[in-house]
Amino acid sequence: MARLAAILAAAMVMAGLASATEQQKVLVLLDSPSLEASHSAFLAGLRSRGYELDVKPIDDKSLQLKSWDEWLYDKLLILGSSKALGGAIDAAQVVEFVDAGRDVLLAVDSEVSEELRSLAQDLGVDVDARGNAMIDHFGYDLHLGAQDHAAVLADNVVKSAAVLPKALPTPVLFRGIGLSVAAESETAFVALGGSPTAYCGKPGAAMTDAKLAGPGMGLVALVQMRNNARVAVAGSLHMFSDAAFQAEATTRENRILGRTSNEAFCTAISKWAFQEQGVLRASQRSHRVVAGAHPGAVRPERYRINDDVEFSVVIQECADGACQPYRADDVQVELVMLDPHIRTALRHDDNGRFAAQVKLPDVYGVFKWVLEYRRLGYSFIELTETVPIRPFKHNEYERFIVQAYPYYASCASMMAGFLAVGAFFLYTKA
Amino acid sequence: MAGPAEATSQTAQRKAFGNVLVGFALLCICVLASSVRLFSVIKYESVIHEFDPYFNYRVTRFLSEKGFYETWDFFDSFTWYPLGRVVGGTMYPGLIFTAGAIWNVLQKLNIPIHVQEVCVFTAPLFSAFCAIATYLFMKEVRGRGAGLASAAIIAVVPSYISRSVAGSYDLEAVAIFALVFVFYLYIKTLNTGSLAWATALFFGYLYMVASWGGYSFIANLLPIHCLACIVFGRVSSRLYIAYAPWVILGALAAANIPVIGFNAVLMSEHMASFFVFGLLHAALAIEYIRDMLPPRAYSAAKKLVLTFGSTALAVVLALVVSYVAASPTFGWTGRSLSLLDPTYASKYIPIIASVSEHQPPSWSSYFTDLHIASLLAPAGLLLCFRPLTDASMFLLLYGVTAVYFSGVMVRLMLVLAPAACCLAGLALSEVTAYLSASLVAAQQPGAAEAEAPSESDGGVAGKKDKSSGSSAAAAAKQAAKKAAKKGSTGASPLGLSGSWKPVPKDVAIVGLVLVFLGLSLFYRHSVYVAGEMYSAPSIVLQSRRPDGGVKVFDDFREAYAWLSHNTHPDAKVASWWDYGYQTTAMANRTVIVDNNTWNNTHIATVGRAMASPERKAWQIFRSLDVEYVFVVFGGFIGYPSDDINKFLWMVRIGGGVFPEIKEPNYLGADGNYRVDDQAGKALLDSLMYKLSYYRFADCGPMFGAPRGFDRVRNTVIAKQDFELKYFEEVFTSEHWMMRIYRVLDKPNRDARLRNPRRAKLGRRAPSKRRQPSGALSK
Repeated sequence: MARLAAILAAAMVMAGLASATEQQKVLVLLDSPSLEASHSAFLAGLRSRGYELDVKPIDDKSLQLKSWDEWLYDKLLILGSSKALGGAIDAAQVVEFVDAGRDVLLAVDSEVSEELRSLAQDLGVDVDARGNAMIDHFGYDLHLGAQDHAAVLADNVVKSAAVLPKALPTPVLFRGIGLSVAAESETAFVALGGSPTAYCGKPGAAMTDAKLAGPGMGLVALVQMRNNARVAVAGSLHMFSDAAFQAEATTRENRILGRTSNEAFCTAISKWAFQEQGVLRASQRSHRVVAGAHPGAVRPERYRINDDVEFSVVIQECADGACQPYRADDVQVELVMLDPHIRTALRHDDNGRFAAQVKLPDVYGVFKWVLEYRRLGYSFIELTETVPIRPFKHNEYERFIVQAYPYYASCASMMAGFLAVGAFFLYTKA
Repeated sequence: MAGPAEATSQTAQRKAFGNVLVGFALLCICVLASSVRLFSVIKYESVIHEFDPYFNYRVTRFLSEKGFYETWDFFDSFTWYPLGRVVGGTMYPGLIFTAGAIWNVLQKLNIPIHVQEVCVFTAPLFSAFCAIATYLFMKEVRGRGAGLASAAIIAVVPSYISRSVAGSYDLEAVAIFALVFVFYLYIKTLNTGSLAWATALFFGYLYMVASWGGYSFIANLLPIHCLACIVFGRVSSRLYIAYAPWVILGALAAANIPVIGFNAVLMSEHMASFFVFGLLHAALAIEYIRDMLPPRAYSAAKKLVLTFGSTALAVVLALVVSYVAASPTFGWTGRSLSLLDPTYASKYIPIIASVSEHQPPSWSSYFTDLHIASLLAPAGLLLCFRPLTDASMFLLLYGVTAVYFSGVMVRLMLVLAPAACCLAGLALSEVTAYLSASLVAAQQPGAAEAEAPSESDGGVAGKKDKSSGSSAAAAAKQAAKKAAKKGSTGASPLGLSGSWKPVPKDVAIVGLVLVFLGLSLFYRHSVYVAGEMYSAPSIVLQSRRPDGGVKVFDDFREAYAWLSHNTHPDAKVASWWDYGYQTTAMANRTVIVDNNTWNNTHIATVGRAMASPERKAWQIFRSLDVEYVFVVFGGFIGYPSDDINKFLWMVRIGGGVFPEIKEPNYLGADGNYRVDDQAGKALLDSLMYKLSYYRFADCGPMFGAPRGFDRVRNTVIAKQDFELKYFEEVFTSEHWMMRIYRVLDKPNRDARLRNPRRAKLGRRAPSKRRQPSGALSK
């Protein structure tokens, strides 16, 4: 019995991919009905990618995310501000939604309600205090942000091909509130950060001790949960709007940069959050004995010490509904019993098959193959498979070893001597 | 002419009658020995008892499925996760192979019996064999009478019953038989000087070595006996044939059992036999030379040999000492060293000291476990000197050493039991023989003719007793006693022939009545003890209700069944090591540590987790892939041997490896171990406390006791209401004796980590109350 213990997100990811073809349902919650018109391009983009949008006001009394034990939607998009969540939805249920492996895109602005802030906090992103706005006296847009310096051209984007496959030609126009992510967080990261001169504070008021300032401040944060559910939290509603998509970026020095990259960035964010990008899928995990007690045995119940074995897995990168072989040289596998006894890099064959051949240690015990792959923006791969390694059986040792020849010789001479003495004793007359 | 012929035929007839009588008595003894051990099955059910037997049972089950070869190479990945255990190489296979062989034979005979039943009844079966072996042994030592008396005593001696009731499927179940049988074979070889018996001795020893670690007792007792023979000038070729082949072949036999392996020549336990082996040769050589040489030359040769011999011996001794001194335990295994130095274990090996059966026994337990045998044994020791033979000297030495060892560990009372029974049987048979011979002598003057009437008298008395006797026990015992008397007077008049003076008739009658009375008391006591004290399987508990009914506590099996039905087959279960064997056998789940306490560090890790605060314990358990943790808790119903009471040992064992665990932190201010408001802070923070007392205060006051009243410690616990953050209660058995917790996964979200940039959250909207349908409740 091969014993597999896999904390594998693939099941969930596959469910996501499979249903991508059948139209996933997205619940869109809008702070005000006017947002549907002002953000039509972004919503249309989602529709064109095959989502069925169910647009509702955020405080609708009839809102429902779950019916009995079934989730009614696959994704949740909240364009929220000051209003509280209505109907049967509350922050706790959204967290439950995420814990069930579903994705959320949450965009707020400076008027953010405490409920949405607490929701973001539960998901691992801290939104700044209500009323604050992101201000950059050196990086504002000349036309849009001249008055309060709060419409900023942000270009500090995360360097991850999984989130942004193509570099953005121009900055992103941002008007909204700042966020932060705990330094120890293993799940959240900032996708769009502030410039060194940016801070979060009250527009028009002097500020000497901004809590959020500089590159440590986030404008958009992405969270990859341990169950591979994804959450995007944006500090701005405006950046998703048609106006921002159409805006021309002009630096403070009156340099015209052309159309902002908001459309590309927001699409990338929503694609990432809704599992259309940066998804790694591991499958066909296998291991076999190359040389040893049972050469050729695939996924044997147990190994014997010092066997030569091969571990292999197929990893694919899925984006936009299609899966390509994943190419990377930093995928490692470990063979662990209390400590890793073997840690080796897996080589791939350009078809997504990653394999490594190792010689098992001279130690018996219950070992685990552990493949843990965490790269920024990519879904986590965490595979474990337990394979005990047994010692030699009593009849598997070498029968004759060179070092023991003196011993064999002594045995033989002893027997011969006994025979001789016995014969002498029996057949000579005293 | 007809007279002698008639006498011969009469003698033959009498002999035949005697043989039949002895055989019948022996049969009764065997039936008695087996049946007195069946109380546990009658009172409870046919289950395996306690802790260690569950391991043996599990391996036997494995054997019944996979066969002997697979068992020999059994690598168990279900225990000692993630280390695993090479079971085939670390167990004594004797018991398991015995039961497996019995099961196989029964299968071949088309008797479809479950392997568990075989395991349950192995011990009663072998206790009958042990009675036979004792008879044979004592017959060799002193004659049939002593043999029967000893067999009758060992059949029901409580000490032996405690380890061999039905269901007590432990190594001792067959090992005591093997022990006595090896002694019998040794004495038989010694008495006959036959190489055939020496070969039998080798096989018997092989079985003993395969059965029990106590073989090292034999491995040291035989050399002691041989040494004594040399010292007292009893060297003979018979001794040589009994001893020398045993040393060589025995060492080879031991080396072939994987668990012993090279220890058979490397450990100090085995050195004595080799040393005496050399001495024996030297003694024989000296004797041989003395026969050959004239006295003057002999004394010169003796000087030469002694000089060279002592030099050589000194050199060898120096080598051995230097080898031995290099080892911290002087070449002894920890367990053996704790026998030689009774304070050793408590000083250095808390894990050995923590086992209750490794504690020294109290005086009262000698009387409980041996009863009349403890009174008669000293008399038996004296009788070993009248006359002193090689065999009786062996019995003497066995008795003396066993008394010492039993004083060190309760567990070794078991080794003393056969010795005490043999000595008591010897005394009993001699006393009875003497008294009844006096009786006969009083009736008929002339000692020579005393034998015949005494014998027939015995037969008649036996029959009378049987018809009137109420219980089978009394009948068998009576038969044994009578037969013992007959055996002594018939087979070995040596003790009486010399200068024996009969006591007056009245004294003889009173003496016999007293002996009978004492034996009756002994039997009554033994049957009572077998039924009431030693039959509890400890896996099922009983208590008497006030109305006389019996309340059964079956929490252990309930919880193990829960584990086996509700957890993933790969789940790892952590608990204190006491319950490891039971978990693997009954719940069929992987455990972290179990009763095979070979890896102190691993046990210390579990002890450390139990003694650590919740978060740290969680980290330790996560690193060991533990999914479930259970604790045994007796505070609800007052079950005293629960984990809270064992907790100090966890602290000690954990602290022995991880110095951050300090015992004083777990004790109250007054230095006592307590769980009330004076308790040590570390104790209240420890995982063990939390898992034991989680929700305990809410379970409702019992019998007017205050809230949170612990019925074992008889106090109100200190910390009553607390929440668990990293563990989740998943099962608590009916009487709260087993509490199973799940080790929570790493949280899905990294929420609310430390973040200095976080702006404080304002008033939060209260969570909504939803109905199960998902709609909002009105």
